[in-house]
Amino acid sequence: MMRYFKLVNFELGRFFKLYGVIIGITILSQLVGLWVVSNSYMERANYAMFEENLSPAQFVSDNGEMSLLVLTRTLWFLGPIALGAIALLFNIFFVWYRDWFGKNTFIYRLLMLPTARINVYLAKATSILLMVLGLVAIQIVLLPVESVLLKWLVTRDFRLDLAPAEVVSGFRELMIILPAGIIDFILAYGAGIMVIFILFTAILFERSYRIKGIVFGAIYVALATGIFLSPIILEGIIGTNYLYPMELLVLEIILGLIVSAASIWVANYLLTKRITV
Amino acid sequence: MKKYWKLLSITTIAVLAIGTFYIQKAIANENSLELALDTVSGEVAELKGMEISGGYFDNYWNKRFTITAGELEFDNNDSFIGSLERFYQPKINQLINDHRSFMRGKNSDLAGFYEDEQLLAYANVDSKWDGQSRYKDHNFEIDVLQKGENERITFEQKVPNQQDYRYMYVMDVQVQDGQLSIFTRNEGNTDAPTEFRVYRFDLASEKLISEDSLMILDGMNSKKWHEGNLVTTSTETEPTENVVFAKTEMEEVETEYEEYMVEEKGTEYVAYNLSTMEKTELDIPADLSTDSFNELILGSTIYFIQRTEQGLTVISYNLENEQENELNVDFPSTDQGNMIVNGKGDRLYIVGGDSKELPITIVDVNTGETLYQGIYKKKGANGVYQLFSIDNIYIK
Repeated sequence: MMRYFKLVNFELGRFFKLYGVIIGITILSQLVGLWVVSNSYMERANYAMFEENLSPAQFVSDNGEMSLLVLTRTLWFLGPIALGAIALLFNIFFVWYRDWFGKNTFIYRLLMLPTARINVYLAKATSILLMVLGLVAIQIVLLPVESVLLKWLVTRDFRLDLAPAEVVSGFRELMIILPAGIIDFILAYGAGIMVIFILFTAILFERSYRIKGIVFGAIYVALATGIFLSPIILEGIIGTNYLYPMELLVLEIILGLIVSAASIWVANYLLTKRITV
Repeated sequence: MKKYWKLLSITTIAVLAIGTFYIQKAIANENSLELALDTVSGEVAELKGMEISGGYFDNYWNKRFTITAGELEFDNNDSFIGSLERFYQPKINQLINDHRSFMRGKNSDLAGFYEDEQLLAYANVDSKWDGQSRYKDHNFEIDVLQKGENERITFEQKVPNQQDYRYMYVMDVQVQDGQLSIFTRNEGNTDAPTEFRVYRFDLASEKLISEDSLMILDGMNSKKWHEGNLVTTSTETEPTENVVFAKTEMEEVETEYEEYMVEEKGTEYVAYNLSTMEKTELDIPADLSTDSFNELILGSTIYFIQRTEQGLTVISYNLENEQENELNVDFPSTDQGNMIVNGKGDRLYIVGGDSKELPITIVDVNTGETLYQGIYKKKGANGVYQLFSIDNIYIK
């Protein structure tokens, strides 16, 4: 167990500088963005009031209130989130290939560690999950901070103060990273973990059999996806919804667990018997 | 421990932040968006048994809600689990709860269901896509549950003359004296017109015993055609004595600005009586339906709802004595949006939608008395663009 934690910590460390930069960009871009967006809103409001003699209420009724939802629809806000998502997606592959193509074939040392090799696989997956959750957490912490900042930048008459949860549900794209309920959150990120396992195993196929392995990997991904989606595909072919929605959900959860477990099992086999350095 | 600070810090921050976010959300259930009911007249208690589902939209908000007995509750928006619970409309949900195994695999359109004290019946026309232009192999699927004995009568039957129909679907199902009637809309193949038909089955022998054409909708040419519909019964699953169809003549006319508009040229009504199996053409003035926003049947009376300057006018037409009657109803909104009307017993429930406000009116059709009037509005600043939209009204 300690070996596993050590490995997770180690994997985090190797990506940590880049991770820090992404967090920095996120914080900076969102705070600066809020400042820019708020000021331009207030500029327009002042212009309307002093040049066109509109009352604050009239201006609000024409332009809407200033709230964090205005910020969320700008590149200031979405840009860093997209950057984080791309970086971590890229890391799913990078976390393996770096060990082969980096200096002095590091994977050799990793695989020689006096611990089960599957720990390397699990530690890499955990590190990616933790970094995703870390970025989500930063976003959650940023929302109330931005809320306070908004109070300084925009006067009361023009402002709509929203709770963090309201900002998220007011902007549907944000619900991809923060689904509406805790159960939804577990389901969404659970599915995410399954995808990571499937991709990792496909990568190990390629690392074990090289060119042929690419084909094996692709077949594995198709097979895993097919098994996971089989109830939906089957109902589509038959043309009737035989299962009630809740039953379908339970079945999908079970299939998700089976596919994840199978991915780990296949990966364990490849790592112990077939992997080449 | 110090060695693991990266692992520990990320884990701690993630658990704390995400945990707090969801706990706060669950406890506070904060809503800066407030939609409130202003009662104009009557008692809120009149709204008991009424369920309205819909949504509110403006520049920022996109919220779905359910109003039960006058209490508005936002759907745990967009929560995936919540959306599974609302997957079916309330009546279908109730049927699934009561008859889980019977309802399995059935089409969730209420038109195919009939329910009374003794039985729950379902009919569907299953067709196969021929891969090019039409459906073929039309097949009746009938399933009847006898509630007391918990026994089922299940059978299938090929649609007669099916090569004549390009597509068909079920509009209503009724059962009377052991006979199941399926009302269908049959789209004709090639040049054949669209038809409303009734197919009668004897449940004991599981045989088709008769079929009849109820109404023919011929598209005379591309400038003039007919549109037809079933004048809806109150909840679409309940027993009724008469099934009424309407056929409206449509014409494309050119305006003085050389634009084309479609005009309604008057509507004919045909009532089919389930006991006598006879169809009657109803003597309803042509402009009555043209001027109406909605029409529906309660018992043996058709109600036409028209919008006027002051509110609404409800004109009733009794199928039995062919009497017309008129009553005026205040409608607490000047906003010209859409309207949805539903009814039960001797009450009409009228709800406005697709407008800035959501007005609700309940009328007693026997006395003409307005039992309740109220209006849902957004509290606080009102924007230029804001919209209430109504999905459906369900009356228990």
